[in-house]
Amino acid sequence: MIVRFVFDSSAVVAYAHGSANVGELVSELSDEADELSIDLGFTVPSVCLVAAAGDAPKVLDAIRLLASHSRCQIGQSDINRWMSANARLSDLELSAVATEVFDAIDANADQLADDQVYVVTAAPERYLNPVLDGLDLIDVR
Amino acid sequence: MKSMSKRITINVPDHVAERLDREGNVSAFVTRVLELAMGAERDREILEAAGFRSTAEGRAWAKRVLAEARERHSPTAYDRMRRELFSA
Repeated sequence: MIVRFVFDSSAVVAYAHGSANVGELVSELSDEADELSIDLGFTVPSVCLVAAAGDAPKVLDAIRLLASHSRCQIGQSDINRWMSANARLSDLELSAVATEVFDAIDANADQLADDQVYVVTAAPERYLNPVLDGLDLIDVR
Repeated sequence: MKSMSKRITINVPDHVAERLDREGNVSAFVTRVLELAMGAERDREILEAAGFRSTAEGRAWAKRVLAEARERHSPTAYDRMRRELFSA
């Protein structure tokens, strides 16, 4: 699967509350995949799913549904890369998101699909870290 | 486990029949296309279950923010981030 989006926990919670913007992005992705007959998708780091579930225990069903979307994959970052990122960011979730972004970029390059990878978030202020300056964010608030 | 199959006869327009004529295994081709459509249907149901309904305005928003994000993208920033995050 060519990953186009990485969702953080705030985007997952937004989806669980029926966010139109998250839904439109996923629909756009699905349509593009169908039109071009390519396997496009989005990933949610497992740590973000856990954080989302903790923030919104009443929407676990919605989270389970999102995870079962055919274009969703649950990210399991390499622990060494994740910890390396965390040494700079001191934030396990941000580190997981950043690691997934670069994992996806590398995997997409392997598939000769030089696609950009966007972080989908409803909390862009969390990314105001100089190390992450320039990260491609899509604000779904 | 291999699923059961059922033989059916269908009528299709000429242009569809011409397309099917190019397939070595019409059953496999039709099954693949229908499974994709069924997956898309299920995905729509998943989004609707969370209360989402797509609109023309919403779709335009998605296209616009994606275009803006592509425009903003800086390969140099990504090279720097990669070095800072993963080069111990």
